[in-house]
Amino acid sequence: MALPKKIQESVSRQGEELLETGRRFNHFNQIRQRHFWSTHLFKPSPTGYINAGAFQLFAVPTGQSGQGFLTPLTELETNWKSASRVPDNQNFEITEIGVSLFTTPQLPEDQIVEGEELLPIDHSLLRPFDAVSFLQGTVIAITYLTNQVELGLAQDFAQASGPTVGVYQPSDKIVLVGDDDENSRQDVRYATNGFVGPGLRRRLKIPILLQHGETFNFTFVIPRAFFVFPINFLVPNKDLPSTVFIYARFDFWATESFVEQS
Amino acid sequence: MAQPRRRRRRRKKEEQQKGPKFSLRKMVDRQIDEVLRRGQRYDAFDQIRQRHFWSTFLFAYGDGPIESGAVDIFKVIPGGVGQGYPTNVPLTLRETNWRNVGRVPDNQNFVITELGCTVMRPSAQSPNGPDIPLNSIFANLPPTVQAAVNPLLPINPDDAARILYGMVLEMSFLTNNVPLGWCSDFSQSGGIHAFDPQLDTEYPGPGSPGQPTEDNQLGDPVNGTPAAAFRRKLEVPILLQHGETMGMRLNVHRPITLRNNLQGGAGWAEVRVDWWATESFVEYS
Repeated sequence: MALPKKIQESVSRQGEELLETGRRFNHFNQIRQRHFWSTHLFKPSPTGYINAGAFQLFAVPTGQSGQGFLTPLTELETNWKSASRVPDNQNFEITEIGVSLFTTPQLPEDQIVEGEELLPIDHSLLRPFDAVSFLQGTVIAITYLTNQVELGLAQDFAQASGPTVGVYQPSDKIVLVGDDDENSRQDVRYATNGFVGPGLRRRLKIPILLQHGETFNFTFVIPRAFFVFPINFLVPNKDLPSTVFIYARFDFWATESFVEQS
Repeated sequence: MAQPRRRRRRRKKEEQQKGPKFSLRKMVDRQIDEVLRRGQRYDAFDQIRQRHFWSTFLFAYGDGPIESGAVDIFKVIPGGVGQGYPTNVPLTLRETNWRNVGRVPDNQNFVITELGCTVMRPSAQSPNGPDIPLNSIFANLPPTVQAAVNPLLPINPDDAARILYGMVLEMSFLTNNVPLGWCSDFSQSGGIHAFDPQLDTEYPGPGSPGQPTEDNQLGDPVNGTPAAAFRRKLEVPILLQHGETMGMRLNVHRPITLRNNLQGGAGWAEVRVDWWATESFVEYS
């Protein structure tokens, strides 16, 4: 049975518009705000260095591996749905950016150094010394088709929020319950990038604008390799918790316009 | 004879409707004229963005004090040498992203609304191990200085305080320098927060110099409460136009005595000065 004439005309007009102008959507009629994030996993070399280089973010969508991960990324690692470009039915106005460290989640065995089991809890912390090395040694850049613009160091862009100890001066180290051995004391865990609170982050008065289909990435640029204390770096007679990974999350807060079409 | 006139009138009318003819030659001539006679290539700076700009000076003081005197920053570009770094270690984007020596690049203008100072340390490095990076700052220090530097120690908070309270940040123009404040007056916009500030028992003693112990698993000090919203916003911004001569200086009016390795000092420190600025620019190939 033939379609009604009006529907035929509508279909024909949409087809024509798409073929002639390359434009399927008249306008992006829905809007919301949320975080978008992408994470890179840095594993020190056997001699304890995080190597220099440019490490792209928003290059691997969920379900694929990359960005330092051997296993497919989940929505914990990224909620970006396209590789190195803005999806075709979304536009973004970015008003905040930030970098978070400090928690390596429990990763599957094939992510771990061969022979090791799942990370023991005291080996999943990030030493503050190493966190500072990363924050002060990494440049945040935005990469377009033909150029890269550096925005600041990772430490310039605080995280939105995060667990902190309830007092400003968390002066005591955490002692394992029932264990008086000094050697079992753990580092202060609740460190953050910046004095955190969503209202305290920098607001970009000139937002970063990304339109649908545009090629872009944010990049961690590490110009100089830096040393972290790897798991096998032993001080004589002491066995220290070490930095096994640096799990660095970059996020931005954006207003997103989109169109949802089947 | 009437026909050719009618044709000419028709042609003239068609041309008027189309508008003036586009001439590449005329366009190029006009641009050449602008550059040669008026020294002006750009009609307008038609793009705008905001970001940090920064420049860093390395004080590798070893056992000694930081001597009095003024040191310049924003004078060495990425790939150049100077600003206290070893002579065969070019600066990278980590140390500076300023792309012109002592002046504003020709195709940018800036409105600076925030300033900040951070006391940092160069990239950590294993002092004895393999795989020391070729561009390692520590490995390229003079041997006498190297012997007094521990690249695995955080900056001692006492040293950070002496540096921040002991240096004046100045803005340099063509013929004068304007002191803006102490370095401690200009906080950083982020950075590690909630480190363990206990000093007396926590810093490494003479028992294990150069080696990490569980007592020195500390963070580094920060300048101020590290949040962008807490930084001073200049109500009268610093304006820099394209081509203008400019720089900044760290002025040490009195020598600054700092801790040596045995006292828990690292033997070196970087001072990074950064701005948050609105930048207008024009991008031409």
